[in-house]
Amino acid sequence: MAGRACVLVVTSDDDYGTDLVIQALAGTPVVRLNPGTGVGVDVELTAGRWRGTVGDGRRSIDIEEVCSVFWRWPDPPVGDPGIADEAARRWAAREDHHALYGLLRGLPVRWVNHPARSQAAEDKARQLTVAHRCGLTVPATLITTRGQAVRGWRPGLPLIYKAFRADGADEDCMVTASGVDRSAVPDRLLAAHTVQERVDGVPVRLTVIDQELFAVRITGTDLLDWRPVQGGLTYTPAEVPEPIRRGVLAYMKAFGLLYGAFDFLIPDGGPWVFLECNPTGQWGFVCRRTDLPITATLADLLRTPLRTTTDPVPCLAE
Amino acid sequence: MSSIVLDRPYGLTHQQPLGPEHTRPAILDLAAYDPDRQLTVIGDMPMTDHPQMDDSTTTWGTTGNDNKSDPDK
Repeated sequence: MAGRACVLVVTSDDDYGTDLVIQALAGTPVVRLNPGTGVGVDVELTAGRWRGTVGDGRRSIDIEEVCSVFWRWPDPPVGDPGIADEAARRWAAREDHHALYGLLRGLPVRWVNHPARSQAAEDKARQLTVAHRCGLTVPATLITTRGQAVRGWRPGLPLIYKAFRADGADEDCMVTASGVDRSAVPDRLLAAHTVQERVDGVPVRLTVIDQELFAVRITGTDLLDWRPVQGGLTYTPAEVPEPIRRGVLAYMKAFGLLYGAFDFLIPDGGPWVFLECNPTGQWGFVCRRTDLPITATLADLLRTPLRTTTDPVPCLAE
Repeated sequence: MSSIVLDRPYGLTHQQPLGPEHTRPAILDLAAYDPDRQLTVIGDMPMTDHPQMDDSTTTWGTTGNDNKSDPDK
């Protein structure tokens, strides 16, 4: 364990936000891997621990030297390019995936975030119940495949539709959270749909890193969903009310996260309303437009050693 | 009962295109990952030092340029 001092970053080449962390980690050994460029594994099980190196198509790292892992959006293994047969190459990619990810996911180090925890925290329906349990206010929400249920829900109150994932069905299209015209809702929705009672208020992006909270109010648009126009908006640092702070930290603990990008709304005169939390969301657009030390805080967390002999996701054994 | 019948999910009526100026600005064609520095460069300049960085760390949710929130694609 004595040799562990290197930050391992696992993400795609075009994860530009992570470049900010790489730069902030100057002076700290960093290895950035993208399994989509290739997979190299050479380890041996010795006295119950894996020893050796893992890598991608460019570089490798001694897994005993890893002190923390920053796991973002790695491209999946694609199989050795020297394999001409497509089926054989897919098989090889799958084997590479299980070897590499199985070895990495068991590393007893600091994870920001462990992919198993991020995956659990991605579930939007689960986010709302956990947020409620943590004392946060959540919007009235209906998830249904039936148009009749939407048309008859909370009569007279304004509703919005919100997709589970914002990426659309067509290239470069985004499904935005926007108002529902009940008269335009068909009986058959043809998919599961999330409908919420509309909450009017000022949007807040709250970036959480371990115990540190960085909130900005977002102004400059009347759109319900600010994302399509985010380049022209104003981001103003905001204080986080203590009840929200407690609730958010409880939420992070419930999912086992060390990083989270939360979206809230601040209604007139009411408590902040939790909308969602992306466990691998972007932060660069906030810190680039404010003085908030989000990137530096991330880098400090990653370079701080955490030594443990326990499984990084103990909930798997519960 | 509604007389409305759609051949695509209702949610896609809330889909909107974002222009290439947002989702794929031309400057990105000049960007390349530098495996030695372990970050993206535009010419010889780290992208983090380029104004394009502001719009390349946003939270677009578009197909082909998603915020890639799935941790294990």
